[in-house]
Amino acid sequence: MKLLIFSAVMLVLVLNPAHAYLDPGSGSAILQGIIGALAAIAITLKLYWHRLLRFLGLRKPIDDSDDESYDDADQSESRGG
Amino acid sequence: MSSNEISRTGSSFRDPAGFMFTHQGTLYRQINRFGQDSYDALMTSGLYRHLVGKGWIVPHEEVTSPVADPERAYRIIKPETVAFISFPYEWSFGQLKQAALRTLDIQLAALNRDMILKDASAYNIQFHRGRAVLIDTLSFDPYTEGQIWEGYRQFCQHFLAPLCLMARQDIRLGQLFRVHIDGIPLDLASKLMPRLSWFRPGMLMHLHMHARAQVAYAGSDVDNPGQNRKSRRVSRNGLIGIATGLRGLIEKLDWKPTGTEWADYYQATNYSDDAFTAKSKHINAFLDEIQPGELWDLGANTGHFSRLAANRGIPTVAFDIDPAAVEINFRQVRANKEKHMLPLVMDLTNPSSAIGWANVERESLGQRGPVDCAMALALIHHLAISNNVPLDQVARFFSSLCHDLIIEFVPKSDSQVRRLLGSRKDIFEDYHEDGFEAAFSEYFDIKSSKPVDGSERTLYWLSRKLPSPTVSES
Repeated sequence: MKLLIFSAVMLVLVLNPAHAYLDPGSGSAILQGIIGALAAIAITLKLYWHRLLRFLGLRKPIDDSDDESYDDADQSESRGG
Repeated sequence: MSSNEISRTGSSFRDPAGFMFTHQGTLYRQINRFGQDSYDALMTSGLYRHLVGKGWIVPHEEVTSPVADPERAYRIIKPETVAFISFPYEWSFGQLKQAALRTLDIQLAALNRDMILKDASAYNIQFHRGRAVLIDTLSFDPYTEGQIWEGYRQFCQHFLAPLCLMARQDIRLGQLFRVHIDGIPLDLASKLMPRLSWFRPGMLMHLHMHARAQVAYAGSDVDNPGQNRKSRRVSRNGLIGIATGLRGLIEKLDWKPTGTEWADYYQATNYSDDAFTAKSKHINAFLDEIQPGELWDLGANTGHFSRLAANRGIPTVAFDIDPAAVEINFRQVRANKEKHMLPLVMDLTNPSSAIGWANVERESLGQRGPVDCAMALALIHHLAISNNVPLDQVARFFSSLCHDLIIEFVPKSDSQVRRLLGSRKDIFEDYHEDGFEAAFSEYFDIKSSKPVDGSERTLYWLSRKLPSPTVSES
């Protein structure tokens, strides 16, 4: 019971950051919790799937750096300039 | 114009972490002590350096003065100047899409460095040197495990809803942004979307279910405080998944002008090749004389003549009413990595007005001027004949927008004007070259006029006579 109260208090503390100036909206926040949970599961599954493929030698290790289709050329340009 | 006074920017009042102000024509941002932790975290986490390296955020330098509000001040920063501030309802589909993807990429980069975007406002993105950049240095907070993305709803309203509506229903629905300054309400977007969109998992979740969740849980915190708290935890992977999912969804959205062939879009003009060359030659000669610091091309189409200025390194805004023309222009900017060209959607018979809180949040077109030099090529007949604006009022409006004006007079004998008059009675007695010169001479000195060989048109260089008359907004 103590643990329950403690975690409830922690949740309230954690979930009300003092800096928030936007109202996230109750519905949006709850939906985000659901989609976020689904997405997290998907990401975890994907991770293990890739690990399995790599373990079986079916796929090369992938480069994790953020490569976007959009502005790669611009990046090198701004670094150069 | 303005003196030593410090004036706070009208759009900068929501976030207690800081605000923008101008001093002697330069824009600064004050970071309040309220925003101290967030700003320090941004600078020390390596996120700022990363974003500047990528060209995703507007760079700034810290300065010691001027201080706008010493009681609250923590730091003053001076961001690099953005040549022209534009608003999402003035962007083409591709521009809004790029701004959306940029916002998500910044969110992902932030999460990677224990920071999070606290909002997702489309107004925080500007086109700077041809690219979408974040201009709000105070958009970040340190990330706390389990916290939600407070800007999720805002992202869907500002980016996802208008992009889906434009791509899947009608390009003109993007203009709903003008009325709904904080983005298109999701229940409205959900109603307007085609039924098939319910079968797209991304649109189903982020638009349709999102809209319903808002209704279902409206006020639930008041009725049952704390009850819904548990479902409001999102893991870091969850946030990354949401941002990646939205990115994939938006990346796939596309819009092409229907019924128009991309390749020959610009062919339906009234010029022979000779006239085209002659016109370019005269414009170049005028630009040599005027040497403008900035230029607006009013009615620019896909920006062919705007590029005569932009290619000289003159920051150029190319306005056109046709979202297809603006889209084509923007794709060209992207493809050629042009740094000085900004295409925007603008209806000059109803230009952007000042909107938002106290009517000062988003500036009207006029308030963002006057500009050194404007061009109005093949435009006058659309204003004077299609929209019935008397020539002297056209002249007056233009004199409020610019110092120098390069303008083309298109006579009634021109096939374009004949087409406009084909279906209506000619009630435009004063619409001829003398009438044009008389009307514009009220406000401008005629510096030069050149007939455009191969057409019946005339190109003028005009220079404003008096300081800009204040055009009342009413």
